[in-house]
Amino acid sequence: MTPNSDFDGLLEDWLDDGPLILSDRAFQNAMAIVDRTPQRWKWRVPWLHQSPAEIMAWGAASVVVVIIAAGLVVATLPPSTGGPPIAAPRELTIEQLREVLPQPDEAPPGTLYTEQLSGTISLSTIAGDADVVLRWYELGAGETWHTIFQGGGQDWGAAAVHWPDADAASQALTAHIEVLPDQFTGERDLGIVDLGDEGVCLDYTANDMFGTPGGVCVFRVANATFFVPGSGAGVEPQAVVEMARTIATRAAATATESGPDQ
Amino acid sequence: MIQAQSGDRAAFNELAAGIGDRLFAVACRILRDPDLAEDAAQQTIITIWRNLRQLRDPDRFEAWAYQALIRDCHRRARRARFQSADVNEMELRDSARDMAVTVADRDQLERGFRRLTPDQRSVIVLRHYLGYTLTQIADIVGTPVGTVGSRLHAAKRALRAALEADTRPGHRKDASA
Repeated sequence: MTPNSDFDGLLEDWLDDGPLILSDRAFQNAMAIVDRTPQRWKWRVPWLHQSPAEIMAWGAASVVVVIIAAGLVVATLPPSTGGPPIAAPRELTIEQLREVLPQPDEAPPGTLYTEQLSGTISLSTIAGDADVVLRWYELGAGETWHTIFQGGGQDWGAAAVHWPDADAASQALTAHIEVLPDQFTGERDLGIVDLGDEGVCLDYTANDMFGTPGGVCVFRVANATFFVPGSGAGVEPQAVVEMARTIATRAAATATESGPDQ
Repeated sequence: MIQAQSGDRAAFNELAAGIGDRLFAVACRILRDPDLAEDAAQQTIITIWRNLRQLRDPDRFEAWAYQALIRDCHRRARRARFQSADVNEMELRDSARDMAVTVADRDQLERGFRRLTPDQRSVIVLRHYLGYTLTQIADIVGTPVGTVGSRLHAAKRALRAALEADTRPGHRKDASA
C-alpha cells in the first residue's frame, strides 16, 4: 500500500502537470461578450421587508389572478377536432452533425481547413451573448462541433449544436436570431426564407470578431441548429448562403425519423 | 475591484486577465478536457462580470470566482457525463514537464479520476491543486466541512484503489480472463 504522503505527492505532481494558460482567443471572446453585457444590480427581496399580513394579502391576490387567467385560457381554447396529421419527428445525432458540416476537402476557394481550431466549440463563441448562453443551458444544449477554414484574409466557419428535440432547437434558434444583429455592423437581412426548417441569413459591413465584411446564416434542421459565418475581403455573402444551403440539404437528407420504436 | 464592481469594463479586463488562466487550469483539472475547460472559464468570466455587484467582500473574490467556476464545471460534467473525452486528451496537449509520475501511474490516475463524481473531483482539485483548507473548500462548495472531508476521503480511496489495481500481481491477466 502506498503511504499517504507518497500518494499525496504523486497526486499533486499529476495535478500540476497540465494546461495552464487560457488562450487569448478564448479570453477575448469572453471580454467581447462582457462588453455587450450589463451587470446585474443587487437584488432586494421585497417580501423580507413586509409584514406577514401583507404577504398573505399579496398571496391571496395572486391566487385569484391565476384562477381568472386560467379560466380565460380554457374558455378561449378551440374545441378539439383531431386536427391535421402531425409529421413524425426527425432527429440528427451528434455524429451525423459532424458529417453534414463541410469536410476538410470542401474549403472555400483560397482557404484551407484549420484543424487546430476545428472540433468542439464553446456555446459562448457561437451565441456571442451571455443571456443567450444561459437560455441555451436551460433548453438543454448538447454537444457542439465546428469546422474552420482560413486563408487569404478570409475566415469561414460552420458550427452545429445538438438539442434534445426540434422544439428546443427552435427556441434556441429564436434566441440566437434576436441577438444576431448586435454582433455585426451594417447588417441586412438577405431575405432567405427556405433555409432548413427555419433560418435567416444576413450580410454585414463588419463583424465583432474580425472587423471585416461578410455574411452569416443561422438555421435549424430537426433538432440541430447551425451557425455559418464567412468574413473577410472578397467573401461573397451569397457564397456563405450556398455553404449554408449545402449543410441544410445534407442535414435534411440525413435526419431520420424518431419515435418510440427507435 | 471597486471600479469593476461599479461597471468599469477596463478595470474588469485587468481583473479577469489576472484570474482567467487560473480558472482555465482548475477547470481543466476537474473536467479533464481542455475544450470544455475553455468553455467553462469563458462562461465563468462572463458570470463574474454579471454578478460582480453581488460580491460584498472583495477579499473573497477568488473563492467566489472558483465557486462560480465549480458550479459551471458540475453542470458541464453532468451533461457530458465524462463519457466523450478520450483518456489521453490531456496528455496529448501537455508539455511533459517532468517524469515524477510514471506513465502507468498517470494512466491509472486518469482513469480513476474520471470515475469520480463531479463533487469528488472538485474537492480533490481544490485541496491538492489549489491547496485550500477543508474549511475554505466547504465555503466554496457550500457544504459542511464534514461532508467535504468525507468526499475527499472517498475520492482518494478510489484513486488509491485505481493505482493499486494496476500493481496487483496478475491483475491484467485476471481482468482479461
